[in-house]
Amino acid sequence: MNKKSANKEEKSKSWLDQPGNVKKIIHGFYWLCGLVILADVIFSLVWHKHAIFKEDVSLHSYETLPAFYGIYGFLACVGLVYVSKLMRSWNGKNVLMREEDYWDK
Amino acid sequence: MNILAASSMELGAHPALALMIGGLLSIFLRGKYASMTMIFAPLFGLWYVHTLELGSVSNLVLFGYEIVGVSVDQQAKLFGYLFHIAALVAGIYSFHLRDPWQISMALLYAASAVGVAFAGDMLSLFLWWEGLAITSVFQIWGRKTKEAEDSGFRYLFFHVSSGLLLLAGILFRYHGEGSSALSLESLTDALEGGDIGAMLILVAIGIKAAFPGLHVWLKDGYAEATHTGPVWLCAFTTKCAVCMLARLFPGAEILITIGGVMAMFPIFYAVIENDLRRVLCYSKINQIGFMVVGIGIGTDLAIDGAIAHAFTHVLYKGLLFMSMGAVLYRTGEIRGSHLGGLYKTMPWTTGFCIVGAASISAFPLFSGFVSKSIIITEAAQNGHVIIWLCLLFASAGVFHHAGIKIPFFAFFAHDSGKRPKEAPLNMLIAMGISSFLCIFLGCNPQWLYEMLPNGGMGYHPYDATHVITQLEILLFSALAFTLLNLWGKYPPELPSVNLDVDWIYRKAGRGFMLSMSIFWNRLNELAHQLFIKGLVHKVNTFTRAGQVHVLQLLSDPMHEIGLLGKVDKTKAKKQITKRAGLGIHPIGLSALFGLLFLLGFLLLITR
Repeated sequence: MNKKSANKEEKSKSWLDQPGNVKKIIHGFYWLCGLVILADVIFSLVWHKHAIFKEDVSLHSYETLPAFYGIYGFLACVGLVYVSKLMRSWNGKNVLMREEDYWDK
Repeated sequence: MNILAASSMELGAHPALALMIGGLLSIFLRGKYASMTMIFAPLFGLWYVHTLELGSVSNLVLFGYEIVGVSVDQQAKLFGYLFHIAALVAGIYSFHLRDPWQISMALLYAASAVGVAFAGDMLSLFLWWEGLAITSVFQIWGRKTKEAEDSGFRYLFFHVSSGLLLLAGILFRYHGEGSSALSLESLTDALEGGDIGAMLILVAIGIKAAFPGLHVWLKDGYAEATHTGPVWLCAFTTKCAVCMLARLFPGAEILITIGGVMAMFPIFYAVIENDLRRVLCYSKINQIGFMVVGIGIGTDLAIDGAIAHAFTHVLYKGLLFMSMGAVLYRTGEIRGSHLGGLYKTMPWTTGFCIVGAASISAFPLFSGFVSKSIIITEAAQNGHVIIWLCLLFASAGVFHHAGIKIPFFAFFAHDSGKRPKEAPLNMLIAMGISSFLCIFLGCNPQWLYEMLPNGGMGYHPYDATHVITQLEILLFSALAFTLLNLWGKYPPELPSVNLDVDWIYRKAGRGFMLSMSIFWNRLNELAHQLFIKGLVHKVNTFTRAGQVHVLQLLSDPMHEIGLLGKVDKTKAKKQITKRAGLGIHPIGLSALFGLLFLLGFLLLITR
């Protein structure tokens, strides 16, 4: 998944430089995500999934639901990126971001 | 510390001796002979640590105090192995260096870290602690730029403060408890009972562990260091702090909160940071956060998890810093906005970087997985729901910024057009060893668990539920990255710096200095105008011209009453004016005026 947006202009012989191959990798990656969710669902239904929490903890029943970790990880990262962008700038005004020579001024 | 200590054998030599001798020798050697000390000293040291028997101690009498210089227990031995392996790998990586100061100080730095790990009491801990501060700064100064010099001084300020706080804490406790306060027993009860000495010691260790707010030295110093510097720096200072936290504050509840904050806040910074080594610094704080949480939970398994995580972290974080160091060495550039496409000419470095990235992200079969999962599981088992959610968030986040962002922006992303040579052979060997260890420990966690102080408590990381849930969280974090990137929502790498706590002393501090300088200099100038140029000048003129005028005025009435004899009125006036102007009028008269002035001033002052 690291290798998805190689340079599209340059027509070198590298396999990764061809947009078609990058697309293949991304598609393969989508399949992998689906496969893991499928494994989780099957595992939850057919076998016994170990709960990480003891039974008296409120999260006990949610944590064992299929795809809980996937949804949490996805939302966490989307949230992370949007909050970080706000930390950079808010309404077009810089919050924490400064030009590179800021400390030397 | 160790119950066996009382009835144990004396040690022959200090465990740090091999590294110290290597460090001192390398000052006198030149060329590759100096570099060889970086390989042989850690190898000898590693062998010596292996021969140490648990429970051995070494005493030393200094200034009338008996110091327990060395005390060997399982935790010390594990960190001893770790620091020697780290020194060996970093030594191979730095083999091409031809700066005797950097080489010598690097080995002495490693020796100080070994000293901290084996310290038997507070006094020996303090001595090695100071050693860490002084020897480590040369990895920053070695870059020999103005920025590195300034950054080194800021780094030193933090670490010298840490040493002084540690000393103050030790003295407070010594004052209260006497010599029993010098032992390295757990201070958790004292801390929670509000003991000032214990608090000072916690802050001292907290500086080195990069607690929130005390962390800026890390991202400031490491980013300005030489290309080999962070490989050394990342192995020792913060791990010494973790080692000491595990010894002195196991189960201190405040550490759970501190660790949770440490695991969370740096990932936001890491996403928008452009300097890739600084991204690694933030992810380092995030990883130490996991260890601090583990120590705060304080169960035997959680402490084991924290120590195991320190062990694996040194290897994979060193590996990531090595790959970024190689990029900096070959291209002279480390900003994500100016890199990209390097996989074409640096395939080996790319591969090693991805191994490090997979390890830090805790992919199954890589080292991070077997250590981080202990801490997360223990957080859940002990009912810390919010902390568990934070750690899970941090796990997803660390994959996002360290696992994907680092390799992606350095080696893939847009093609920067840079075609550097592959990293030098010594760097590749060092990265290869680290990569091997990352995968080896990931696949054979029992090797690591057996070395832990509590033996890993029979923990099994490779449970089907655990592997599936871990893969799920990682793949869906990657999915978020992929989709946001494809939709153009991912924040691009921009040439920029981000404000952190260092703003307080680097900008507000400088602003304070500037405003003070303006205020006091203006006041000074005003006072100069008012008193020196104004008042003094006027007094001066008055003392010179005043007497002439006064005498002129007085001359007529004095003539009237016949005080000036029978001379002509105008002639007498002229004479008096001339005398007064030349200052040759009778002394008594000037004394009289002097007295009057004095009285006048006296009145002004006393009013």
